[in-house]
Amino acid sequence: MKKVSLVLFCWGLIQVSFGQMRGAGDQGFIPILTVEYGYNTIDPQPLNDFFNSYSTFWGSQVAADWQPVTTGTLAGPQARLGLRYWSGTGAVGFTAASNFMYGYARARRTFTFTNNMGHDLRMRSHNLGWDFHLGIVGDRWYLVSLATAHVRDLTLDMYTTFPDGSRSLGNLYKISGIYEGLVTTFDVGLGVGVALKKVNLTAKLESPLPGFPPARFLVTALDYGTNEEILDEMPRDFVLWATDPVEYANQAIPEDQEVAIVVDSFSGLRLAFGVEIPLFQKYSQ
Amino acid sequence: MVTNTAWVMLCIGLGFTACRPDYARQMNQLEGRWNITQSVVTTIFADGTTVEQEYEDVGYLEITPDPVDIGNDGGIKEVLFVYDDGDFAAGYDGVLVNDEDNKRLWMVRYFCPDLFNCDLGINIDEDDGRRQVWTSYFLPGSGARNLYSPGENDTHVKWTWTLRKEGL
Repeated sequence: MKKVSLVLFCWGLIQVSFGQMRGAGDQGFIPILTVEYGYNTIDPQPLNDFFNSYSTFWGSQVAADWQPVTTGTLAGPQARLGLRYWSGTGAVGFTAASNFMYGYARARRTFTFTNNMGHDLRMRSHNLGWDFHLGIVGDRWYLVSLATAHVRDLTLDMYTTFPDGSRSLGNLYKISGIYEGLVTTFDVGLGVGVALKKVNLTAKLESPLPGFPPARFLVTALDYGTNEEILDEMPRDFVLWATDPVEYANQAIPEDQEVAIVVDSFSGLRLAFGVEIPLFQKYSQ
Repeated sequence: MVTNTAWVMLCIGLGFTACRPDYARQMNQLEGRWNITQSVVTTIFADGTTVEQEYEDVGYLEITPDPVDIGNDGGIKEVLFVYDDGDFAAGYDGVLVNDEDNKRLWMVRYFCPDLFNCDLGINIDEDDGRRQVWTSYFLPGSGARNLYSPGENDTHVKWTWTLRKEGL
């Protein structure tokens, strides 16, 4: 099924690439591909709290500590594919667009004990989005308001590493595992484009709407099997998690974000710089 | 215009489908009898040195559909595990599950009958059709699970199985 889907996907792209589109001239629809670098900020505090509490718990047995994460740790490339409506030249006109967006980012942090055991934390995020642009267009620029529905599939692979270089996601040590969560946000912002030869240079700034969707701040990073029987939660407060699991669970129920890694902390301001390419024709200039 | 928009939508959907892991399909491919053609018990010391013991043809796993796999679309299997390398023997007749990334397997309640902390976790190191390499880790002389103390144990045991599927 995977190979069939890939073949159909490529065939579909060819269909789009050679399709007949309206829009030659001063107005019409233009299919666009935008290639960007997305600086998708995160709140580094919960993960750094985990790092700090882990180091505190192990004290003198720490040989090499975690390197803290920053707001830009999960920045990465992304692409948008969609349609732009373009009307008017010379004087100020009107533009609207809608795109599907996909982006990928990853980062890694390691930790080593004095006995040469350790951890390798690999963070992966797949970002999907569907955006809408509405704005004004000048001779060589446009300015648009943005609204985007975002879904970020976040995965934290926590390996235990052994002195010979082996590594395991298995459950010999409880903290090992694959912790996953979906971050869903609805973002609003502004975007600008400036024409340069046959393409547009673009910049976008978006911020998630607070409190929407409701209760997203309660979604934690969980490790589970497909029978959903094996459950673990990525702790923010490792000391409590390791020393008093009952109290940890009691605190996690009303206020997950205080003791657990809440996936909503992996969302924030989104800044993207890129190049918008018309797929079949140049923009009228 | 409508046609082209539909194509764009279809492309996005198919592209997403192509990237989506199919954990149930992976589990369905495990169905059958797998012979443990090689078992390697590796003792790992804190200085990184290792001592290996190799055994050949030490047992098998018989993986079959689980009759009570309701709503999991094949993601849960029954497994019969028979192992004897001359130095150590083990057996298990229970439930096998994987994760959505198909990186790990669990023999559920391998060590004890309780709901939590009793499963044997296995890493899928190689998944090559009819050949698989699985590893699990232990403390020497112990089946201890779910410990919090990787910084305190200087010696570990890595158990590696090379599996070959019977049949064509």
